[in-house]
Amino acid sequence: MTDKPLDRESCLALLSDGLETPAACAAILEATPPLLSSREEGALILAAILALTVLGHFLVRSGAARRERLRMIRDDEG
Amino acid sequence: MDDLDRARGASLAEATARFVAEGAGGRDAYREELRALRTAVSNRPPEDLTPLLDGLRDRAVRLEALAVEAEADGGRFALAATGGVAAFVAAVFGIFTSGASLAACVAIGVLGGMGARLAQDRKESLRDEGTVLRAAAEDLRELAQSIGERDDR
Repeated sequence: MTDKPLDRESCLALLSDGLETPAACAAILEATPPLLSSREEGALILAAILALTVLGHFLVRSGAARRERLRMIRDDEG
Repeated sequence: MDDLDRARGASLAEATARFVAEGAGGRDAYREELRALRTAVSNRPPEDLTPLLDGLRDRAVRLEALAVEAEADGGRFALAATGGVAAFVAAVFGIFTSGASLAACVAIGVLGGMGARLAQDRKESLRDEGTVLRAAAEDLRELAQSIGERDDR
């Protein structure tokens, strides 16, 4: 059985399992850096959660505003 | 304004609210109420028309203000829908970059997509609400104008 050639994913898997990584991994990881750092990824997730929270707030507030508008239309005896 | 006028005004107000809430489903009942009010008004002596005129004009202004409010609310949801689409695109982009966590990207993508869809639906519903309210305000203005012309004669 031949060993699978090392690539970025297998190096990351070894790292995340806490195993010793072959020397070639350093070069592979350096040559193909992640597009986002873990900090940027965290910031992206936080921004998405914040955006969804704001959207939820808009939806709730808009629902209440709509009910109020309908009440005003009904109450209006002009 | 007598009790019958008040009852007709309340019926028209209720029909307008249903038209706003249900859209096309409430249109026929609204048209019917408006026609009933128009017929009732056409049989009134001119001296009774002034308070009715003021009431109709006042109500048209208020409906117009509510239409502006609904449209402004719709504008916020247009922005929110764009944000949802951006979150979805960012998540898809993240899935294809080796550094981003797949679970986080899928979660953001699904929530962003759902959020965009929800915001889009609400935007359209608010736009329709604004259109109906503007049309109702216009109907009342036209009615007030026709009463005013009769009053002048």
